Amino acid sequence: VRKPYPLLVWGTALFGIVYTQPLPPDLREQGGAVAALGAPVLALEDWFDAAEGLGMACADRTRVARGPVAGVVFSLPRCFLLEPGGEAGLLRLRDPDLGVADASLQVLAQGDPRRASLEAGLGGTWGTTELGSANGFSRLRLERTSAEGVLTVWLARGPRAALVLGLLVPGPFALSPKLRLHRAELQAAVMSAQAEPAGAR
Amino acid sequence: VARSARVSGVAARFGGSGVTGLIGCAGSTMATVGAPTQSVLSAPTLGSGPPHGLGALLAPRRGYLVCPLYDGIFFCCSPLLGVAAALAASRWPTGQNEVELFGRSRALESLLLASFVHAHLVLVFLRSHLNRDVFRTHPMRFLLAPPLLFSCLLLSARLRAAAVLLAVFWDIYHSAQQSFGLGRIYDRLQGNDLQAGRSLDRWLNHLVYTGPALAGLGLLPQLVAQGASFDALGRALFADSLAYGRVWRPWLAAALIGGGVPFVAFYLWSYWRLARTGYRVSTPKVVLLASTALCSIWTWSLDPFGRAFLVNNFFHALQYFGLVAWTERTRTAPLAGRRGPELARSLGVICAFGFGYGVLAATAGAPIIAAPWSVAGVAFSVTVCVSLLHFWYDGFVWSVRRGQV
Repeated sequence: VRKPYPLLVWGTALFGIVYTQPLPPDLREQGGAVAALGAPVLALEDWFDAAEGLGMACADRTRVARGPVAGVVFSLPRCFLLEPGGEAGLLRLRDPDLGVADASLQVLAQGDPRRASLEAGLGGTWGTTELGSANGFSRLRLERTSAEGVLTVWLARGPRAALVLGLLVPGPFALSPKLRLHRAELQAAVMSAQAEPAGAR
Repeated sequence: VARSARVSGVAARFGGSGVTGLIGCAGSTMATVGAPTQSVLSAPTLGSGPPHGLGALLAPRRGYLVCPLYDGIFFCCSPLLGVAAALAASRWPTGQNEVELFGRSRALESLLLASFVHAHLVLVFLRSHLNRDVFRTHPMRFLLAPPLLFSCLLLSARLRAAAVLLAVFWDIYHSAQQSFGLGRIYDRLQGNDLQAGRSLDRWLNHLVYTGPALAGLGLLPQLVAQGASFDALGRALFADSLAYGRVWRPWLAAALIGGGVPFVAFYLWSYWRLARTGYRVSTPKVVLLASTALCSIWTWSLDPFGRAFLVNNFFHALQYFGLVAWTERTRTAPLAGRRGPELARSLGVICAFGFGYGVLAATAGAPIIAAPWSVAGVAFSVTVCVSLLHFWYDGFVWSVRRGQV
C-alpha cells in the first residue's frame, strides 16, 4: 500500500498554487543580484515569446503628446504608432515591435449614434472599474474574457466627446509582463486624455 | 554450408511456424505472465558460429526483450522513428489527401496518425481482460470501472470536460512512466537488482519527458485546442489558466535546465558507482534513454513540426504495439490461425483489433462536450473512457517488480 503523504503534499501544493495564483516578479523591473540571477529566465521568456509571435516592447518609452483626435489630446510613448484604422474616425494604435495586441482608438462626439450604441453594449457581462475623473473627463475600464481572449475597453467621457480605446489580448498572452506593460501604457494614455487647449492650433 | 545453415537458422527463428516460431527471435528472455518461459541461451544454436549481419540482429541476445532488430524498431529507437515520421509528414503536401469517413473530412496523414494513437489505447484490454493471470489480480477494477466511468462521462458534461483535460496531463505522465518501465525491463533482462537505480531512472525519465512537455512550446497549442472543455468547466474558473501557465513557463524551463544538468551528472555518477558493485549496464536501455531524451527535448521544447503531442504519442504507441504483440502472443497469435511466425501473427491480430477501434475513434469521436447522446457524443465518451482506463490500467498491469513482465 502506498503511503498517502506524498500525494497529500503534492495535492496541497497544487491547491495552494491554483487558489492563490501567485505571479512571478517582472524581472525587467529588478536590479542588482536579482536581475543577474534572473537573466536566464528573462532570456527564456523572450525566446518563448518570439517563438509564439510576441516581440519585444519598442524602445523609446518617453511619453509625448499626441492628437488632437476630434478635439482630444493624450500622451503616448514616442515609439507607438497611431495609424488610420480602415473605418472613418477609427485609428489603430500599436507598438510596432510587439507584434500582437493592436489597440483601436476612436473619439465619438456627444451626439454620435455610434456612442449610444457602444455604451448600450457595455453592460451586463463586463467587469467595470472606475478610474476617476480629471481634466473634465471621467474614466472607466471595462473587461470581458471570451474564447478570443481578454477584451479591455477604456472609456474617457468628456463634455463634448468620449475617447474609446479597445484592446484584445489573446487569452494565453493575458498575463505576459510585456502585455501588462502595454496595457499600463494604454491606460496611461486614457488617463492623460483632455480636450485640445483652446487656440492650440 | 555453414552460411546456408545460418540463413535457415534465421528463417526458422523469425519466420518459422508453430513450435519453431518460438525458437530464436520469438524465444522468451523473460518471465511473462501466462507465457512460456525459455531462456534465449537455451535456444538451439544453428550454424557454425555466432550469426553476422541481419542474422545477428534477428538472433535473440541476452539483455534484449526479443532480438536487437525487434527491440530497436519497437522500443529503443522508436523515438527516432517518431521524429522521422514527423519529418516525412511535414514534407507531405497538406490538404491534398482528404478522406471522408462518417461524414467527417480529414487529412489522410492526420487520420492515420490519430488512428494509430487511438489503436494503442485499446490494446490494454488485451492485457487486462484477455490475460487471465492479469485479470485475476484486479477483477473488480476491470469489470466495474469501465461501465461506471462511461456512465459518468455520458451523464455529466463537466466531468467529460474535466476528463479530457485530465487525459492531456495523464498522457504525459503515463508516457514517461512507460519509458521508465521499459528501462526497468532491460535492467531485469541484464540480471540486475530490480531496486538498483529505480528512483534515479524514474526521475530521469520525468526530467527528459515530462519536464520538456510541461516547459516547452508543445503543450500550449494542445491546451488551446481544448477550448470547448475549458468552456464547459466554466471559463470564469479557468480564464487565466493558460495565461498563468505561460507566464511561469520560462521559470520552469530555467529550473529544469538548472537542476537537470547537475541531475544527469549525478545519475551518471550513481550508475558508475553501481557498475563498480556489479551492476551490468544495459545497451538497449542506454539507447532507449538517449533516443527518448533526444526526441522529447527537441519536439516538446521546440515543437518543430507543430505536432509535438502526436510525435511523442507515435513512438509511445509503437512501443506499446511491440510490447503487447510480444507479451500477449500466446493468446493473440492463435486468433490468426496456426501458419506463419507467431510474433507476426500476434502483430497482425493486434493491428486489426487496434486499428478497427482506432479508425472509428479518430473519425467518429468528434470532440463534443455538449451533446453526449448524439452518435458522435457517445463515440467521444467511449474514446475518453478508453484513454483514461488505458492510463490507469497501465499503472498496474505491467509491474516489473511484481514479475508481471
